[in-house]
Amino acid sequence: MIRDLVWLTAGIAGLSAVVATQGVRPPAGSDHFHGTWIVNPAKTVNWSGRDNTTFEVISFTVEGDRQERDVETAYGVADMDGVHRHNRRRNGVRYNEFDPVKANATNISVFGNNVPPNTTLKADDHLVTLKISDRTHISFNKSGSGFFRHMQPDLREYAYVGFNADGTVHLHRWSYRVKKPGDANLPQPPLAPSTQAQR
Amino acid sequence: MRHMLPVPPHASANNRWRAGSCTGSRSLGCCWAIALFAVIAAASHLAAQSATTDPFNGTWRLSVAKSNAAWQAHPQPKRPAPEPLSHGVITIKVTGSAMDYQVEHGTGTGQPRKASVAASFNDATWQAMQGAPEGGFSTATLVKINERQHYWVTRGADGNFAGLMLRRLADDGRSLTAVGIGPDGYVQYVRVFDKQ
Repeated sequence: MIRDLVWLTAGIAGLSAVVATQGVRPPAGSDHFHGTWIVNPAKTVNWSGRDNTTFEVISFTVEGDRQERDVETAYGVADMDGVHRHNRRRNGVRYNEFDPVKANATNISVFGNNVPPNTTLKADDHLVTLKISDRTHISFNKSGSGFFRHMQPDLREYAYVGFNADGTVHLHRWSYRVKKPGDANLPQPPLAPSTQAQR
Repeated sequence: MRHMLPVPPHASANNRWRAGSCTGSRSLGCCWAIALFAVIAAASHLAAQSATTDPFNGTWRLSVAKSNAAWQAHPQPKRPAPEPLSHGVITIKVTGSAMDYQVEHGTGTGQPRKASVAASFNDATWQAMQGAPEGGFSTATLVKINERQHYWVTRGADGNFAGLMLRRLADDGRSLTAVGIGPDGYVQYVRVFDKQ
């Protein structure tokens, strides 16, 4: 009887651990960026000295080899009039495509960005966006600058790293996953080592 | 130009090659032959020129002193100390969009190690490194920004991102600067190579 209870308890604990990890783990073979992310200002550093990113909500939709982003950002603090101005844009691109027609990079300013709402902006400086793995991609401009997004193995955080054409890194912007609307605006604590070992 | 073209011995006085003034059916054929020859010659010349004049082509040797100075001058973020390298010789041969790359590298103790790769630029494929590449990466895909700047995007044996390498030529084409950026976003090294 005691042995049965031990097995039952161990089974429940094991199943709970598995269920707990499923919420942050997309199906195998998919792109782990798919979903919504919020900037973590405490870990974000603008090394060039410009205003830090103090607000960013970014949603990725990845279908096949096409990535679409909808991102709203704000920098620094509110202006003198007390308004903290936000910018929102939508971008899209096809992974691993150097042909600009096939890559079909898009850049639309929804609002802000010092242009009228719903302005289509040029995207012809884009050279390529390469998918390195399900948790890393990198994008290059024709000018030689670019950025990569590299996700932590626990799939809960990623760092956006911006670099210049001379190899200078100018931005580390950290974001963490929003599991569902209404979740607390706080990063999740790191997983316990025993849970990470199960991954 | 006229005096440079041969006159065939069998040509008659009325039907001889008249260089520079193709008339008649036979001369028309002659013009086509000359044009074809010119096209082939131009194509060969261009191909040879591209093979010899790619500014990355040649052998490049690590300058430890210049590398130290470049590391000191490189802005943050970077690791506390650069990844050590005391010996480095790179041989690059770019032909069209393809590159043959060989490197010999060492830290001063033991025999230098060698690695090589043959890959094409901007084809979004992952090419396996041969030998013992520095940094532990196993595959790379090459991105050509322009004639003077390349990137290597690398993966480790597990398929995960292993870092980014920038190779950039100086304006005079006599030195090559390599910058390594780790997956954590910190610069790992700045190295300067002199053309031999």
